Amino acid sequence: MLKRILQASVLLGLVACSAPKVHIPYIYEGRFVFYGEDEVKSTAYSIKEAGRLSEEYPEEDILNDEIKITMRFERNDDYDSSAFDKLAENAKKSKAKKDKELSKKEADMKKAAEKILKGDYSDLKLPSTDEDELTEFPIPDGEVFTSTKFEYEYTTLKDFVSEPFVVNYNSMTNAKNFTFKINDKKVDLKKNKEKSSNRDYFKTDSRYLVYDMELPIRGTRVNARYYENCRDAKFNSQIYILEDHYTEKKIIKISKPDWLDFDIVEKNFEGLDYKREEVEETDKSSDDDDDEESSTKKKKSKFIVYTFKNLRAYQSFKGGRGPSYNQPLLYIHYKSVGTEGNKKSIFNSTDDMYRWYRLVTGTLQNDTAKFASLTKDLVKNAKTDEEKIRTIFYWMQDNIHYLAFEDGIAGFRPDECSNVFSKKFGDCKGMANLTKNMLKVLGYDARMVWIGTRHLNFSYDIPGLPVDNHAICAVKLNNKFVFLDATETYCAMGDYANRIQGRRCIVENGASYSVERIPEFGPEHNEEFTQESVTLNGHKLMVEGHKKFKGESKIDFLRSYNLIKTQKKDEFLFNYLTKERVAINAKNIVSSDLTNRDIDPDIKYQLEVDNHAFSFGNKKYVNLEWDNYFSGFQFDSIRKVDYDFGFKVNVRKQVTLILGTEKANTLPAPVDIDNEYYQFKLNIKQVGNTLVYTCLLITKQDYIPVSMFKTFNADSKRIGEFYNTYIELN
Amino acid sequence: MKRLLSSIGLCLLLSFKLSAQSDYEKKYFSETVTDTVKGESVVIAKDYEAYYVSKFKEFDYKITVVLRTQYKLKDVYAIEAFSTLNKSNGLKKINITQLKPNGTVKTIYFKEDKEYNDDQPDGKVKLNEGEDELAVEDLEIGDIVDYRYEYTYTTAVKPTITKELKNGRAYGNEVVIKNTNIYRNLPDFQKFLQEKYPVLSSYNVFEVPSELNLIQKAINCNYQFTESKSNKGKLFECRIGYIKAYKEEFFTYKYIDLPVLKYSLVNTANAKMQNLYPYQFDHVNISNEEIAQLGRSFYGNTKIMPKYLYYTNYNKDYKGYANVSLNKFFGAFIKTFGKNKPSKLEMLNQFHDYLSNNDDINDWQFGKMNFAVILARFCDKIKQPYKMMAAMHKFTGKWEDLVYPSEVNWGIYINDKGQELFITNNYSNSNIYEKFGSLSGTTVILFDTKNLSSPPTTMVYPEVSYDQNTINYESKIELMTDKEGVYDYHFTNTYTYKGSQKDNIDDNISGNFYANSLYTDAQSYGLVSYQLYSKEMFNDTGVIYPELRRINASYQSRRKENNNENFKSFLYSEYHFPNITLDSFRVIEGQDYPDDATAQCKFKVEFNTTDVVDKTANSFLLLKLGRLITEQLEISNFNNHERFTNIYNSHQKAIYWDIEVDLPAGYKPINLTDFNNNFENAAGIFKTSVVQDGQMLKLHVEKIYTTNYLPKQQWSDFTTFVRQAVFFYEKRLLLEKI
Repeated sequence: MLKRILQASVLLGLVACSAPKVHIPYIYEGRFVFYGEDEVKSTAYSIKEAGRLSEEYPEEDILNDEIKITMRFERNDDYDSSAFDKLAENAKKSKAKKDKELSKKEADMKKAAEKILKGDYSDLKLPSTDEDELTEFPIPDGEVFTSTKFEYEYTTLKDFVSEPFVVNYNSMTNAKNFTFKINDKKVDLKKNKEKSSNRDYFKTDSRYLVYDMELPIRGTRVNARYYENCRDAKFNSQIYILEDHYTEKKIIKISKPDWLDFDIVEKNFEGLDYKREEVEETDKSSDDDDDEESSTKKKKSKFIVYTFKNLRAYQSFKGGRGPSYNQPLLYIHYKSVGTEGNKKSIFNSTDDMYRWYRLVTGTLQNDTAKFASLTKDLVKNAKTDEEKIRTIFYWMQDNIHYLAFEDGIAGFRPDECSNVFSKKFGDCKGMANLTKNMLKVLGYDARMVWIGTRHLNFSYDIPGLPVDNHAICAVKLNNKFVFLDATETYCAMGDYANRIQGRRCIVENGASYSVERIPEFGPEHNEEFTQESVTLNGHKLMVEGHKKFKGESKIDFLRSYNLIKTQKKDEFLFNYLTKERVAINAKNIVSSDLTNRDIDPDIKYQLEVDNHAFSFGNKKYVNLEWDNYFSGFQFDSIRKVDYDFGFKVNVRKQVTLILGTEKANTLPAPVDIDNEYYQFKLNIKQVGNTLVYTCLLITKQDYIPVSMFKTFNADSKRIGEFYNTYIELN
Repeated sequence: MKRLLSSIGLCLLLSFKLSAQSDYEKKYFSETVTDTVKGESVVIAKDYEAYYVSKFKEFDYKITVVLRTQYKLKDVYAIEAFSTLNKSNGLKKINITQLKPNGTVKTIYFKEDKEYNDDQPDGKVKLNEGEDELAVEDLEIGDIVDYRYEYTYTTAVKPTITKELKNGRAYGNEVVIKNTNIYRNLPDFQKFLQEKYPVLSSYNVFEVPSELNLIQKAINCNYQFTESKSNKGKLFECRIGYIKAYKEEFFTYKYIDLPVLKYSLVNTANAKMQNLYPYQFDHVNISNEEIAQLGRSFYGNTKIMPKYLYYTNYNKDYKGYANVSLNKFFGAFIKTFGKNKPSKLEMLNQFHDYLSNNDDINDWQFGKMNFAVILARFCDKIKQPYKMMAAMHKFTGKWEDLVYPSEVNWGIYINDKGQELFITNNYSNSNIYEKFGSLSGTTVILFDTKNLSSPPTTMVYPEVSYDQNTINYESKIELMTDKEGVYDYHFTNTYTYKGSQKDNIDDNISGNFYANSLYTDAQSYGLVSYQLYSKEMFNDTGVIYPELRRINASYQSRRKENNNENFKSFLYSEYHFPNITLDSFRVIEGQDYPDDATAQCKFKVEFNTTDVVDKTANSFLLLKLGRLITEQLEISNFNNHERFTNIYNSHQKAIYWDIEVDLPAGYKPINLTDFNNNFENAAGIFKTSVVQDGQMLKLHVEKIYTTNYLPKQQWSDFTTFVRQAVFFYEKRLLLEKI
């Protein structure tokens, strides 16, 4: 073997050095295939093996041979809950430190720039300017730290695999001590730090470490290892099981110290090949586990060990309900820390969640002086309490712009209400806090509310940080809570966005709290109703119609309309009604006041529809469907996650065509589908000299589960066939 | 946010000291402007653009640019749009303020880069590249966001240019290349007056040393710069009143039909200075002689024409580049490509191909003029008779509105035994034989490079008719199975592209048509075909290590997989059939973007789909017969309203379809006559005819854009023509059970 390698390397050397007419295509350059003999050596057997595996896993570029995650806990003896009271002071210190570092960087940059300006390009690599602090608002250390070791072993199944190794970190967690081996040879990979490109957040402390990985020869084996430390176990309570690639074996070891009480909840484990066991073994700390000598000094520790086999690859699908609904995960429910007699709750119950919310919001000043007079002025013409509350709620929606912050403590602690008022922007917490305090100025019993939206499959039954992800305001009106979510623009008071409907929430009450539930509406609440009266004019259908929107369909419509440039609003309505199809023309569009969220929008219009009618001999053929809701809506057989419609859809339509002396000959059989998740009813009948087409499409839930996809696909196809139907008239 | 607030506080203090404004700026922004605009989300209350020019060293100028715009926010959309702003980090000064309706002024952001180098040549050394996003606080309807920024540069030419090179290709490691083009540029402008939002008032200022002048042309408006004296020399000012917002329209050349100001600073000093700033006219209404004179000066003046061509160096030391004189390079080129004794035009075409496709390093220095000069020099070398040519594309404007030379499209004209060539561009896929619709009917100016006394002549660029730019679709659509109501059709499609249409092959397909790749060779100073090397390397007798050959095969197979995905995307974009199984794709002709005038690119795709026939809820079937001509350009009915600009199409073109499709057994068509059309108007022709031949339908369709210009009054002709094809595309054939 060695001889062959030597020959090969000599040959490669010849190619590269003494035969300039033979060029290596640039597409291969810079990749380690040419770096030396070791890489070539590794290909003889492994290429063949990879070829076999490639046939076994045709969809995969990479096969995870084994992944091992070992999570350990460490008690923070210096835990100090009063640190939350010193957040401002900490931020100041953090800023001072940052400024100092910045000055040094600027000086270095200046020096480098001066060199360039003098024509000296030898030092072109300028110091990076974007390695700033992850957050200006660090969260204090928690009661328990976690240290997790990640070990990956994988093999490439195809040539030219270019897949960077990406690790997420933020101001609570760091990732360090990365080591990479390619075919057992230690390598240094180029490291990039990247900010999160998630545009959902205006400011976030989330970052990525990205290691470039170019693997041009199949059968290449990669070992990657790193450690992740988290300053508070509460922030490290979910471990998702699936990886980006098929995984033959995955081991998750979680230490179980005597001083920490927690449960592990297995979610979405159906169909997984796994075993759970508890073992006792010699513990090795994260930093010196390769040090045999030191490991002998360690005591025995208990571990809960999950071993998974043959895990399918994680697949991302559009329109999912949220990963916690379908993706297998381990949810660590941290109950308490300490030993018997000296136990301290972490998230033993909702009491502890409220305690945490109080802790992070404890130092809020809630100074209302800046907006008290404006608040009173706003409601000066309002007569009833309901009117006053509504006025404040709508003012908040219209005047405070939503910007999301997930940045250190700013991800949990609302901004001061006076700041949100001054800035005219805030995130959900900040907006809820300002709503609450404006209402308090008017003497109402207004409260902060923490809630988890429908995207989360967690509940207060097993408390923890992942349970809530949103904040709103509640106000007592006639001894009942009315919930106000100012982030939901164009949502009327008393109406609730689907994402919070039916969810339980924690409502503050000083030292106490209550758990309430947001009202939930059925699909009838969201009706989009269309009534159209059609006459036949040669090959054109002349339509007089009107549409009415309620609930979520109303909020969606109003929001889209109002966020369009003033000068584009007519075009918006035109395009909405014509579906931007050239075969449909709209005119005489008259709408109700589309800025008023207290009335259901109503649009009257006329359409001219082409390509839906023709005649042949003495017969006419007409098709009365041009909206085509749900037509062609098919779920891919590989989809493994439920589909989220966004809300409970309710489309009702009635179209009438006045006939002369004609009679409809080929009426289709009605569609009448009704199951747990949806109801589809379509019918065309002749009533006297009128052809009446009715269509009712209701999704009873805001989602459809994977188990219903096959049925839905068949039913959607039936709807499509119904829509396609031309009625013969003679 | 706290940090930003504190820096804003600090900046508020500094702003009065540092954000020095000129008297012109102060005066303009102290004036009141009345806003009577209704129905708009945002108006630009004031727009200020100033260039303060001063002498810099012996032969150069320092130019400080101040741009300032005040946006008045008038509705919720505006608040949303301005709630976050991007600020560029490479500027000298940025000052964003907010003016509340009650007169309060707040600083949103202020920054002065104290390290900013005013003396940087021609552009900015950006120490902090990139942009940051700012959240704007306390934004309300009625607020004015005042965005002011400033930067400074000089006309000095960089002594060196850095270029990223990697193994001879222009990326990868940085290398320094000597700049052989030493001439300087003064700023010129083609200012389109309409903005995204209506502009209530704008003010443009140039304060310049007395040897500089400003020349100008107003197009579709009467605004003019006026000249007066200033402390520093001359002042040119132009006040512009209300300008309505730009409304985007299809098929338009906005620089022809909408208000535009063209202006340029020019150096009117002594001859030596003018020699350093040669690329200028010093007045407007330029004569043909002056254009010829400028072209000749570039051809003949060795100080300003390119001296060297760089070539990529594959020598063993991998230094990456080297340069030789033009003459030596031409010699090597001819030596390499003259082996097969090509004609002079073939040789010239190869050279054109090299300059437009393979000369990565020279890209930066090939202005249109340099490109023409090098081609002319090459013609000299191979003794090909030619004339230099100046042309103006319709979208650039008209000869009478010419202000600065960069508007001119320079090239060479060859009349070779009656074959006329107008070589004007360096588009990567074009060749020397190609003609362009945007020049059809325009006047071109021809002049001799050597005989300086011969006067320039003019001629009309020939019309490029639609039959020179064609696409032919041939489709054979056979019904394979009709099991359980699922109709599986097999498509055999052949696509043929000619003329400009072959440059517009769908992006998903165009990767299969390569421009010929040529690489310079270090030892011979000649050129070699990269593709030949590639073949040589991987053929059975090649010296390459077998493992590399296996990897190459693997790479090719992966590339094929990617291509298959691309072809499927292409087919989806054409038909919008969700279920497509690709059978094969094959390039039949023109893989290397053929280089002769009549050449065509031709490819063949075979695929299956079950989406041709739809079932209905009664006994009929629907055959998507219209869909078989593939997706057609749509212009929404909403755009039937007033048209502001004339209608320009880049070129006339014709698209022909010949489709044969099987009918499902046991069904007969009902509305077949609906598929016969014979439409023709001033914009084009859309003709369709279908005949039934047993169980097969034969469909012939012609869609021809017969003109590349229509006056705006005929917009409805254009939309009516275009929509014929869309209507057809949507038509379905009802099939009745026999």
